[in-house]
Amino acid sequence: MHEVSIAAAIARTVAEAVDGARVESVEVVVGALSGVVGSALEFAWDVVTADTPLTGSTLVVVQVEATVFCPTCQCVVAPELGLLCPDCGELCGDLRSGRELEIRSARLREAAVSDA
Amino acid sequence: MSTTPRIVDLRRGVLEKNDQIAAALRDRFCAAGVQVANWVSSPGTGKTALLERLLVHAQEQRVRAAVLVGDCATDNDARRLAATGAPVRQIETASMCHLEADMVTSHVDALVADGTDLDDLDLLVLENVGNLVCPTSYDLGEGMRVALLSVTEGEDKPLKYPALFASADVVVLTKVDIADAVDFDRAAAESAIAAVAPGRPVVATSARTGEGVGALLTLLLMPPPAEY
Repeated sequence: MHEVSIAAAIARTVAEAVDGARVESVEVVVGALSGVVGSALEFAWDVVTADTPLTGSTLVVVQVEATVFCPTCQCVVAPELGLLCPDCGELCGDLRSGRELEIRSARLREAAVSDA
Repeated sequence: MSTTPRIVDLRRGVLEKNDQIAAALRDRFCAAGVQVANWVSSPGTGKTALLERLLVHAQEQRVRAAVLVGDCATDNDARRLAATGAPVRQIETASMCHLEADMVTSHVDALVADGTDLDDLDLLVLENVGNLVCPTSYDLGEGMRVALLSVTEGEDKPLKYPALFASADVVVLTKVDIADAVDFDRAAAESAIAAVAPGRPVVATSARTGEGVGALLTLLLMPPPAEY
């Protein structure tokens, strides 16, 4: 349960990158094996962004499932619990996705065009 | 005035700042020629007991070793380890469930300020907070990550915490002196380790009998392993 400090790191990085612009939403990619729970990040977001330029923004979590390469089936599969190949039951240690923990983008809300 | 949402592409690792601090630490450790190991396990696996034994053995072998030990509270572990005579500092993390690179930096600085020259050290062990989830994500600048598993914890623990064991360079079994008493199935444990962390060396140890302590010290002093 270190989602509060992860959420704070995301907020800090985004705040620096957007340089004071108002943020509508932030999209992050969270792998199933990243050690971070998406819903807990969303829960922490409101708290860590309070009284910052990110107040009121939404955290959009894109979950990435774990995939492994099965040496027996010679293909990339979504493993069952314990990293077992769902087709042949082989234990697969060659992770191909699932460890992601990345800030993808920030959607800004600001006056882009003047009507004057 | 019209309001138009705009997308800013970021594509940044969430832990980029930690990774940058860890990279600077790694450069510093390499320049000083000190091997650094990050020890990670559940609470109660026996990291501190094994370290006590390892530090005594290191002194006998004229290997100069120091320890930074992380816990949420108390300096009990640092006091136990300091009794061996090795330079030790406690990192109290308060509510934090893992060590981060900036904590290691400040405590390495403090170790140096207390008179320990990194150039004079052969080995620095970072004993992480007992936790098999959160430390996975945090690079501490170590050359080697050591995951420890005690014989009382269940042979399938690597399967339950695959991310942590997959991130380890070495897996250490602890408390093997009581393996028979708790019906520990070593083959099953090694099979679980191989499933999530193929190719990693597995060292069986006992802090009580000293089994495996010499082998572990030898492994810790080897250059950082290549990628698996």
